[in-house]
Amino acid sequence: MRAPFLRAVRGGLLAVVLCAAAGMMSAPALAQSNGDGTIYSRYGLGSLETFSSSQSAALGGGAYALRSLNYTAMANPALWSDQVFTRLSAGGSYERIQATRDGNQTSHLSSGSVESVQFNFPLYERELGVGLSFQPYSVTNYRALRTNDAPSGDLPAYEVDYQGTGGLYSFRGGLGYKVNEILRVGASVDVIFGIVESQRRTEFEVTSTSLRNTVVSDATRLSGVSGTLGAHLSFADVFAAEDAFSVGGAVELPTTLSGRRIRTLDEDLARDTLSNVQGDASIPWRARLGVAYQPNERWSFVLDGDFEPWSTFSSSFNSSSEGTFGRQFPVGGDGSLTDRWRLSAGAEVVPAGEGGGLSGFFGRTGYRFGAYTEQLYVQPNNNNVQVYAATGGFSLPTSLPGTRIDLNLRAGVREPRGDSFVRDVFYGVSVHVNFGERWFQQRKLR
Amino acid sequence: MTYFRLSAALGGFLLLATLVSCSDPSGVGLGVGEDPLEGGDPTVETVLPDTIYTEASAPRTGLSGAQQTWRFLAGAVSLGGTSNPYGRVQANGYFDVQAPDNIPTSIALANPDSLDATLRLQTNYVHGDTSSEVSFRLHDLAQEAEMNEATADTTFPVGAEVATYTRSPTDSSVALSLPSSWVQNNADLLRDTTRVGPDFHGFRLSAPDAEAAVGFEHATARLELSLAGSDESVTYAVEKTFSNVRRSTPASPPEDRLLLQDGVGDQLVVEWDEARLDSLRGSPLNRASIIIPTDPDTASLGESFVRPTPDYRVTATRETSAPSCGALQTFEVTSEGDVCGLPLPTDTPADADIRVDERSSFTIFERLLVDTEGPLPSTLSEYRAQVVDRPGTPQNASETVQIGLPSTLTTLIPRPRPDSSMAPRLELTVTPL
Repeated sequence: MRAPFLRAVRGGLLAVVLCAAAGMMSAPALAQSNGDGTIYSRYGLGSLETFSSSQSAALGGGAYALRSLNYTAMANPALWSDQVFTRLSAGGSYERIQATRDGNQTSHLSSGSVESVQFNFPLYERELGVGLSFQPYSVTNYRALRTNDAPSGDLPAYEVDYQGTGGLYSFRGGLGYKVNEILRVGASVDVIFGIVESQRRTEFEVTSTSLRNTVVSDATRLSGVSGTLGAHLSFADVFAAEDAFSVGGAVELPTTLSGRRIRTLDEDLARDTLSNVQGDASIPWRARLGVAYQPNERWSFVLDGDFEPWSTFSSSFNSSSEGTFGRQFPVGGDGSLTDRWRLSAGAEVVPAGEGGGLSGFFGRTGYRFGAYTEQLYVQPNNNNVQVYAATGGFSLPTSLPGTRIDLNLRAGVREPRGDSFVRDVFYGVSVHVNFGERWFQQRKLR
Repeated sequence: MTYFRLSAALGGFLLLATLVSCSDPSGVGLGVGEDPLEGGDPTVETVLPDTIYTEASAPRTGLSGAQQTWRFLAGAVSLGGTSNPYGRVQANGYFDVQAPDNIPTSIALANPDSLDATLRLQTNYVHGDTSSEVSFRLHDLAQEAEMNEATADTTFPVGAEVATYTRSPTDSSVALSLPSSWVQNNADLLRDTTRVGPDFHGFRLSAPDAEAAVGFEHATARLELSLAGSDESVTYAVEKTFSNVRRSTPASPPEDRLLLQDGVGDQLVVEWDEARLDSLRGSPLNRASIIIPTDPDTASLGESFVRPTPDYRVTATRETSAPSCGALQTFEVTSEGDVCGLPLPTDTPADADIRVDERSSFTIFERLLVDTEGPLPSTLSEYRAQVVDRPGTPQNASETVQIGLPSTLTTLIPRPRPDSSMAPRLELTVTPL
């Protein structure tokens, strides 16, 4: 029995580590996000990602206190103690954005991305568990296009394509431990790394060997180490018999990312380096707090909040804005960032309950819905941007106990608080596969 | 069923991760924030020469051996028509013949009085006023002349005048009958095949009073010795030819023009403004165009004035530590590789401006602009443009850097002035950072 377990651990570890290695070595656009997203990802370090688990995503993105047999919430290491299955989960998403400015100019942008690869297993069932994950920390994928159909002189028509690619990854590993029936604690080490790149591509309608397109790129490569501390309190029979009430939270420690900012001309193997400077960027702490209430085994309710004081962010790359670097990093300087906060709520119902293994397919399906609002940490021209979104999803059971396929949906709007800014209406869908299997224990008929 | 669902989920997962081809971006987002997205508009930056002048460098006009299209010149042309503002150029053609394999017995044994000698020439070039005839003067050469690889400013000593002939410059073939006295004096020499090479030195054909320069085909030029009253003859094929070209009357072009002259070798020398180039360093380059406008100034030429359309050749000196000519998309034109030939488009219309192939100029100036620190990288300097006459339309870029045939062709180049559109210039299309 021990050999299959070790093989599974090795396989899962390999999957996560390979993804991390691929992320480190591959082009950022390939590893982070394919396609185009919001213009607000141009600011700061990109759009911050909050993925914790596919269950969490459908419940508004929080669920920091929700205990679950089938999901491991990566946002709170304390919940990693609660594991029964060895679990490998992965998922990707597709998002479509309709970006509008002044009500008359519209972009339709779409992107696909890997949301996470997670591997978790219990060392001692429901007592000590290990969590590993590789997932985006931030994504830069903006795109805007400007065309000139009648340039002066003998130049043919051209277009200037502004594009952001890349972002930062988080490779997280840690332990969760159940201190007693009420208290669980956890800690993880978070390695943050990646490349935030902005490109300006000038392309002529008619090109030849004598009239070349140009690509100018500013790439900022950053890396650093942070940590997360989590705690979870669970109480039973609080408001009714057989109910469960939980409080959970986690704090990501502040850190400094170091790296280089490089301006290049052309692309791929033909790149020429125009400038290369060293610097660092401070990442503020991040606090998460949530409550979960499960009146019975069929219903779960969650309420969560996040806070990150990005107004304290600083970057030494600002001082390197002279030379051939056309603009600061982050764009607009440190003052373009503000505190980020997020509130979310959600509910889930599994008609047959979490342990209803002999019920029908629809009875064992989980139905989820949620909503969140978020103030983005970027504020172009000191105008905050607020997000309002609804989430939902289905968790489809399989005949393999502990294995589920999740289909999540989301729709919302990024609403700037100011005139002449871009309003995004976005909707997306994601698919996650959660493989869970017992490797330690004999199977028992439930 | 489970595995079907898992496979479907995995397929959906992969589809979502890659389904990104539906974007329809626009200008939304360009003006957002304090540091909006902008720039990227290509602009054309003009770099003028900081040094421009003409310099005489006589081209090679001598040839030994066979080349179908080569020629030698004889005559003179008043450039710019009868007002002669661009001077008068005189060309003297030299040629020598080689011994035939054998001499027919009837000719070898004939009395010199019964022999005739005729120079037979095919015309393949005329430049000048064709309304008047040309008076050619034929001289023996006094000694053996090293014509091969000789440059146009070379002269060789001549002996006595053999004869004079008057011919139309537009005749497609010319037969010059040598006087009987010359035949008697040279009959024994010509009939001894072992002596023709070392002891017979050839001729010089000139026409200093002509109004046209005539070119004769190297490959078909020959001396023919025949027996009077019979069909017997022997041909002495050409061995080597050479054209001496010199300006006999100084040129006085307008002050705002520079005169380029083939034959005498007046060529344009240009150095681009390095300070201006330095100011553009780091700018992404979209296109580089070396443009040298030409002004044929044919307005005052009469209808009878024939002016072949000139071709051009552009070379530049490769600076020390610069990449090879090949690496700069140019061609080596010297065995030392210190001079690179810049290819020209092969489809340039007649009398168009001189434009260097933009792929080459892009390679050269991209190297100059891409480095932002230190002195300008080594590439090419002393760009030289010269008039040449090519036998036909070049079939590929490498043919546009080869030397031309001997000619007397000219063109005018406008000097730089505030209106840079008519000046020799370097146009760099860049996308400012």
